[in-house]
Amino acid sequence: MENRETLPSPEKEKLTTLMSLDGHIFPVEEAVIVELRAIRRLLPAAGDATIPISQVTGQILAKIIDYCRKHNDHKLNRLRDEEISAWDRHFVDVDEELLFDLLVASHFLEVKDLFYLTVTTVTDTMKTKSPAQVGNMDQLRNLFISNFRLD
Amino acid sequence: MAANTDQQTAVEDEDFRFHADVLESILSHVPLVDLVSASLVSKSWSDAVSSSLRHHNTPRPWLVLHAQARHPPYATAVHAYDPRSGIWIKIPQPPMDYIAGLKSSHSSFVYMFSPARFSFSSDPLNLEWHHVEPPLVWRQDPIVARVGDSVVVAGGGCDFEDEPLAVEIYDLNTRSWRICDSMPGNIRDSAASSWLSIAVAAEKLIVADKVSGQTHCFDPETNSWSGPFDLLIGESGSISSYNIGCANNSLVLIALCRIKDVERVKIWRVTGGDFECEEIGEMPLEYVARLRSESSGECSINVRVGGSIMYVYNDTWDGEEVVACELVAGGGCRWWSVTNAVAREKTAERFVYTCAVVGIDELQRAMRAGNLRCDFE
Repeated sequence: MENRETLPSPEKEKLTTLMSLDGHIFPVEEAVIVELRAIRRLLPAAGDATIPISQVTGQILAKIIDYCRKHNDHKLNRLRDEEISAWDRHFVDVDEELLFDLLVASHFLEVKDLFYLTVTTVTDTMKTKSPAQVGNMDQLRNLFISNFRLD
Repeated sequence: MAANTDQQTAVEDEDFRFHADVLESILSHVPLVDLVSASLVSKSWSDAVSSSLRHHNTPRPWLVLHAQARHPPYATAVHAYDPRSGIWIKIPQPPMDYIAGLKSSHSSFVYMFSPARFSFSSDPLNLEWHHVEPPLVWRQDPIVARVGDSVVVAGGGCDFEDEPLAVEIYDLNTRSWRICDSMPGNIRDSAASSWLSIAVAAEKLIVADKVSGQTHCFDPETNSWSGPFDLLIGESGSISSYNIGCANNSLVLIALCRIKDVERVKIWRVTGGDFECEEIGEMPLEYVARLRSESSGECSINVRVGGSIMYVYNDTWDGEEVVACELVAGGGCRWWSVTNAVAREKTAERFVYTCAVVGIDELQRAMRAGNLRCDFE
């Protein structure tokens, strides 16, 4: 699990505490919260309380927070365009199950760029597959099952 | 999953909506052509994909570009633009002899004539062709259009005939030709692909003179012509080009006009037996500029229309951009431009455009027939 040190700053930066489905605690800075649009909306009402992220495990939440931090670095020009692109490619170079977990979680948390990145990766995989092979994409199939009664 | 109710974020994410359902969100972002494999897995998958397409990010009419060599064997390459995802794909062609120069007259109808054969196709991707005996009388560049189950051939000049040429109709059900009276008026000698604009609406063939706007209407059911009608659009400037098409089941007119020394492109809806015109939109001037020919500095436009989209292009040989206009719910127009995927090899090739209403069904058929193994550009 990630547990970064925050840089010392003249004013103490407000941290929001998130808790994953399986009980892991993540204090995150404003720059990360901004990217988690679904969480950002809850903020004014939440106050200082810990926000439970009921549908995302600690493993996935950590990766998403990592993604947000890296992209914030890029926004602040601490990373070049080629570096963030390479980092993104590596980030989604994972097995299908993990890719779909990231996809579903980024959709739930409304992390727009990450959602788009994972969908594009899934689409690129689908482009090269025959119908039989697409039918074997269990994660995609699971999504269909939850919507339709599949044979 | 909470729906996006925050006003501020709703504005930011204007063109990227998180649907309540993650599957819908995924399918909205997958190009139509990539959904074909998923739709062919089983009937349930097919239903799921179709249902998703109906509710979110529905298919929109494609612009299809046929690039044909000017000399035999008239090799033809076909590329199609899908506005739903903004991509061009190459459509492999069925093995076929291209007997002559390809022409298109309206929507997704294409045809070619030789003295021995008349070939035509009207399916959206032009993968299914009919090859039949040619009409009785050879004509130069007649009006050719498909109206319901009839293919109408009318007018066209002929060097050897003084008598007005009969209209000949090929019936797709009986697979035979019939003859009816020739068309009235002075446009029957016009070379259709240069001087006439053709549309099919409400099971009738409508022919407009591109220069004068004089319009005739033919009903293959009754074999009768009506007109001429004038398309009165009340412009204070001069109109240099009238172009018609059928959008959302009604006739539309796209005209190039010059008002106070500025070239403009405007759109009208044409209704009723009197062909009354009601203005519905105007092309932003930045797009009119893109239609201007680089070599002559002039605008010479043609259109292909299907569903709710009108594709407007410059039909001189150096046209590189196409301007699209989509009729949106509520009565407005959305405009954008499309750059041709293929740079025309100048004099060696002709470009023929069609507008095709392509759904997942057409793509499924194409893939099953082995026609669709698309390469992306």
